[in-house]
Amino acid sequence: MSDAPSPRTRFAWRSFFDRSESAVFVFGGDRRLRYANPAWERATGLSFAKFRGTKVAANRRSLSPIAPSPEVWAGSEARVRRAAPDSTTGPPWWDITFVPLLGVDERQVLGVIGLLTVVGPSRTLPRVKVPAAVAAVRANHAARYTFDLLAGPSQVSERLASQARAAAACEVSVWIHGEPGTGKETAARVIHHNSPRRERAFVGLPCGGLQPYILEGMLFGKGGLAGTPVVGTLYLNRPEELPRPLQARILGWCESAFGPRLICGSTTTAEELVNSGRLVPAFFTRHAPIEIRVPALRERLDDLPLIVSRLLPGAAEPEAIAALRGYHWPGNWRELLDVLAAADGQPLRKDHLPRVIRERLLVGHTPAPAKPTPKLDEVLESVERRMIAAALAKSGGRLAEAAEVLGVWRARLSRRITALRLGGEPPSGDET
Amino acid sequence: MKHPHVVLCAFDDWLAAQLREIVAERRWVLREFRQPAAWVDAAARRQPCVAILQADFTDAAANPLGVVADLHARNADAAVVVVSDVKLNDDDRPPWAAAAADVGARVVLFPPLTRPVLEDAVSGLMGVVAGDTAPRSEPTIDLAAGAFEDRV
Repeated sequence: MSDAPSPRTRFAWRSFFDRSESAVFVFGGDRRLRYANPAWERATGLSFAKFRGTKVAANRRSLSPIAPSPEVWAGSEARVRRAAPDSTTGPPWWDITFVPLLGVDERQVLGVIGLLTVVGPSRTLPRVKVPAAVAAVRANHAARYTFDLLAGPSQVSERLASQARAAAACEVSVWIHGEPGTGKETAARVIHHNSPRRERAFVGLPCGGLQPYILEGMLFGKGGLAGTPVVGTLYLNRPEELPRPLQARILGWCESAFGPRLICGSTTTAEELVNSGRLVPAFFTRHAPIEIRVPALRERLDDLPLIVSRLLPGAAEPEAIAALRGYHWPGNWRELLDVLAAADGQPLRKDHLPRVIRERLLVGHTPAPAKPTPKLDEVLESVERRMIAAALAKSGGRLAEAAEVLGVWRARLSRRITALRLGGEPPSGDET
Repeated sequence: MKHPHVVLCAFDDWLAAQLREIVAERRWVLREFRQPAAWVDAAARRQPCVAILQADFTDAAANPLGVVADLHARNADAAVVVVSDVKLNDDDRPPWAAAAADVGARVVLFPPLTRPVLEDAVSGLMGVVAGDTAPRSEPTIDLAAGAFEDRV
């Protein structure tokens, strides 16, 4: 019998890895660094001799970038990208592949092998410029957004179109408010594509849904939109949903030399949102000089025949149009488009409509009032409250002057202020 | 059908694999396509939809932005996520991202792309498109607003 070692023990695996240009390191099952080759030292700038036997932990900053993630210690392979030390976001990054060494029963992890590659800045990538064909695509797309999209026979539509024309003629910020589904972004696109900034891009961001870090990355991250003057108009849908620091940062970008024009859309006015503390004041004081209210669809029922003729070919059945006019459209345009989708590109017939709309026609419904009828006392109190508040504001809080404006005795005005609980404490008459 | 859909057009299965877990967890419907035209047809249906397009910006023949513009013209309510398949220079990203947004994309993602980012983007947009779209109207009294303030 020969005492020669088996081929496995003869293999000089340490020198094998030492000669490799791939950075390899090994953690033992006790989570201590057991081996790292010279390529690892060159890539990381760390000394293996210094960290040999060091236990890896999240709070040990020198080794945390190469710490295996928990699923690796649970027995799964993982590939991660981490920013190299001294760089919070990279580049350079470290791409690390972790392979756990499983025991016989596949539950115990004997150790972890790591393979590290350094990913540097992508400066060597070839330039990929936007070709001229994309400009043609953008031009075709922009051509759809004319003022006719907003205009219609109804008075409110004409008002909306004329306000949009006025907004498109200048470059100041615009605040658009209206119920969900009324087409606030469409109005913003119409303004942009007919404005002096139309050569630059329209960027619409849904602030209410996306995580702030995604929006921040798109705007201010590496290669973000804020780095170049490519954005002509920034449309923020529900900016009140953003964290206030990000609100302020976006405003700072919009106010910079090459910043975009800001158009915001929400269900209410900027003033209300600022007063409720959900929006930084500059949105109202500096970025809402033009305020446009997009009317709900139930306010522009006279436009329905025109809208249907734009969206569907052929002549719609008069009964179908009558049924559409009899509905109050709580979902606005979005709901109308859903309803018209049932026609599947055919001329609209009554039987295309959902039951809830058809039934209103059968029972001869007129448009249902969306709001409850206000009570007389409520109406009178509301009017009185607003008139008194306006008179007090005009007179600078002087009760006698306000009473004169309103044409009542001072004592009566004082009683009404107390009864209506206006302004907290009852004002004194000393100022008169 | 009003069930939330994730409609995906990708070159391979990698993106779908990244999304399968969240799709199952949220009970959305995931539909995969290889052909952009079929993807546009599926995403243009009136349903809550996040449409994801994997795009190779270097391939002029594929015209990914034309596809996005086509979808936006047919269904502006579909939330479109464009995932670039190629790494771009920091200088090249903004023009492409802005051009994609201009024709209707909501989010443009560039490599390196991680699963949490993709999941957050899709779930955030799904919250917007499948959220409560009914107006939050309150019974307010708006009597001649601004009329008597002018008089007093």
